[in-house]
Amino acid sequence: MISKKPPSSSLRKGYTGTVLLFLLPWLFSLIVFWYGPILYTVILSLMKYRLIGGGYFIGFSNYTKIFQDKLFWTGLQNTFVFILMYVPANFALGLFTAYLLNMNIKFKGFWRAIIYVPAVLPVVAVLVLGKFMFYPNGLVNTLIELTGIKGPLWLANPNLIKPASVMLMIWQCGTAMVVYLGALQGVPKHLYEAAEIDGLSHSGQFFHITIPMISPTILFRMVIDVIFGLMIFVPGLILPEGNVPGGPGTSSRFYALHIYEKAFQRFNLGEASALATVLILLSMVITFFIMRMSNRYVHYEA
Amino acid sequence: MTGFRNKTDNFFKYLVMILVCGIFFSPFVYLLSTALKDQSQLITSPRALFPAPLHFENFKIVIKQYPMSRYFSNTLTVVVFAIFGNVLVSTLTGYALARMNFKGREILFNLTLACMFMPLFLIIIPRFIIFKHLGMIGTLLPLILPSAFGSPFCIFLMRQFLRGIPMSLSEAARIDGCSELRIYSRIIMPLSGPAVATIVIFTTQWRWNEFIEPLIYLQSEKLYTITMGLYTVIGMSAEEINTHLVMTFVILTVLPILFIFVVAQKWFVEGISSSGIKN
Repeated sequence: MISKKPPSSSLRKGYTGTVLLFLLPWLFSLIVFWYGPILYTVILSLMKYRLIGGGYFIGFSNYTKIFQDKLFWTGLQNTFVFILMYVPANFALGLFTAYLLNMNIKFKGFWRAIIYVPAVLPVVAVLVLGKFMFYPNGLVNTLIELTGIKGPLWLANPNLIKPASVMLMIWQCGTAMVVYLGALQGVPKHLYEAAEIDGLSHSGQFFHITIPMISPTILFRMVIDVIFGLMIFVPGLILPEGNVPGGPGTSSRFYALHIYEKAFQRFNLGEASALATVLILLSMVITFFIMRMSNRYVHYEA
Repeated sequence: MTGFRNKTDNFFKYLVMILVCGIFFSPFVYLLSTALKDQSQLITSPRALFPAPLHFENFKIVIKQYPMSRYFSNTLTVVVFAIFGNVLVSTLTGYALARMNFKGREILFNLTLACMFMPLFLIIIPRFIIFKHLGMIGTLLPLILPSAFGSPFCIFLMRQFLRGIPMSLSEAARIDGCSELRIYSRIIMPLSGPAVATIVIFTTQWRWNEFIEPLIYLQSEKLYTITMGLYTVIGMSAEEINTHLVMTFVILTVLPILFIFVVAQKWFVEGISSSGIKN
């Protein structure tokens, strides 16, 4: 912690002014770019608002309107299906690669770089590259057809476009990998040595020592990944065959794509804000739920 | 017996590693080999790994056909201004949070931390309205200002780093009558090279890669950043016809970031593992 007794300078005249000088730009930013907008989103959700001419309050009718829209439920469903695939997959691949890299192995830096490097690329570049990888003659089907199975039409099939999106997004699991690797390296060696003496198998060590010891990190990544999943929409914009946003059909019409179109293509800012407010509540509820679960399952060492 | 087991274990270890890394790396191979084909090779040998001859002129074609220099200069403008602002604001704020005593410090720190979990979509509608009313839609300012006024992640990084510098350094300077601003600029900042480097690298990566904000704020093609350029190209190509040029475009988009990664891998990895997030 910082020194226990207050520094003598805090008694000096003008100290508060100096503190303010240091903090002023960020305080401005917090109000104008962060917390102000959140509040404003909630207020806008109660208004009929036009960019030119301003708006007026209309109560909760934006909410009744968005709930009646079939696309709201479609979007919600698509986003949840995405999250249910993405979060476990990103966790599994991130932890698996971290586990591999934590072994006693040569050229560690080289392997780590290969697994991490996709994570530094722009999502758009990944998706554009991915779009062509999933074409009939692209990389994915080339690899599949090495086994003699005929590859599917990924981007024209409503059942396959979300799995394709998930595959591309977990190509960027390097961020999670680095975090898990850090956590794995923090597990005290003597625990494994003791387990070895007790004759615990490798898988036993993994489930009874490794997983409990890194569970706070797993939980933290889960929250981050769920929030990322709730916001997903760019795959629905770039991937579909023939560049129809949300296609094929409505299979990649994610919830956030719905917000994007409502707000910035039809400029229905009131309804878009209502949609965003629902998302704020959803992410708060889910985060709360994950945290509650953690009280039961997560092991925090004192 | 154990020797034999260790040997097979070793073999499997490397086999799995090579397999996994091969899969992770294969998109790059596909990207490069497709970018170096020409249109007839795309039709006759779409799956060939090594097109012969290699068509390096695709890079020239793309640079000529699309306003690449404009995309690059727009993106660089955003990156440079964002870096300057962000380094200044994040170091100032991080310094105050780590090394100054004031009421509400913990609250401010927690409010800042919470921003790291705040998804862009919850705040971008009001930001758009604000920028619209300030007449900034139609300029690059909406892409620059929010990041130039500090990033929660960088403030957090800076605070953690600055707490590690002994307080006695500041105490001694205070006794000598040094002002806080002078301690910041003359004593603490010169010691903060690694942390500032991390901020510079992350700001570059975020601004270079950002897509949603340009998509929303930029309405004229004159202002397009590199990611928006790439997005327009995909809309234009009638399915597979221009695959090789699109792939060349992708390479040009990611090359600067890959270059920075190769040069500064250490900071990328340390920055992320010290905080646990990106974005």
